[in-house]
Amino acid sequence: MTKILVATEKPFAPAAVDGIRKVCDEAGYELVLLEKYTEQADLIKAVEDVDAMIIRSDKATKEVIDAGKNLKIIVRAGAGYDNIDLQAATANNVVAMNTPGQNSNAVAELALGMMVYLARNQYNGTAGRELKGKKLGIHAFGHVGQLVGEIAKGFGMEVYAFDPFIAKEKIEKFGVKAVDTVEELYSTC
Amino acid sequence: MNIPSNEKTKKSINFGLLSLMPEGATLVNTARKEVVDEDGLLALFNERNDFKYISDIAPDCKSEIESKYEGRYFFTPKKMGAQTAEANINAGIAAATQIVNFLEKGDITFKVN
Repeated sequence: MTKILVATEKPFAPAAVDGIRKVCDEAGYELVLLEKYTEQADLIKAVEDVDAMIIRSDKATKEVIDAGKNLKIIVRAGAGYDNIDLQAATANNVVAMNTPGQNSNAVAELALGMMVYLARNQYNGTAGRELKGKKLGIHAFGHVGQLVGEIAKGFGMEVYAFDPFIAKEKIEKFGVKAVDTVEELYSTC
Repeated sequence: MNIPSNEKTKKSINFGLLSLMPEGATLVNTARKEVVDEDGLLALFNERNDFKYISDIAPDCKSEIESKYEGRYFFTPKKMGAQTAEANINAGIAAATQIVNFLEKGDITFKVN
């Protein structure tokens, strides 16, 4: 039976594990859980006989990947994948993937929440500032950046963005002002 | 600022760039801490008392900032960006589905290597 390891030092919410289990059950796969582990050796042992692995911020090092004798794929549940040794994965014929966009709204809401918190002097009883009318520069206009822009407009902020990989015309379709250089973004906002 | 962390972007948010920010500016970092050049960050904190820094995960120079620049920073104790039940469910199910699609159909849509 195909085995899927979910290795999470910082576990998923229980509802997420239920959802993963459902996908595995429907495919006829076995789900193996390694949660709250404290030693990298535990991960190395757990990966030995599985076909696939889902991780969060867990480190898929060369040692881990080498230990996965049947390992065919590692998926980082999140956007960043600098915790996977891509060179080792490729050398071992292991496909590495991320899940872009799935965490974006959570990150975007946190960004605005932290802005309010600091603008209001960490709720210490003194008069802070409001976000309305302030300029917000978004450096990287991917999934998170687009959602930050949308929420910030709701606050009445004046939103600018720079992304070297996205055409200005595409950025401006989101109702934000695209600038030409990163220096222009930082000097404007 | 939510740029990816790679060899080209590490320490790319440096003093030169940050010093362009207008008076009263706040840098909000939801990316990896490694993309910020912390020597430059500390230099800016020291040079401009109007500058503030928010980061989802504390920088390595956290204790120096905490000891010198009260009220001008906020750091989450752990990386918190993806810490919602909704994000966990979305990303977890997407990961499992991508594995099934790869193993059953050879789908490599989200391959990064």
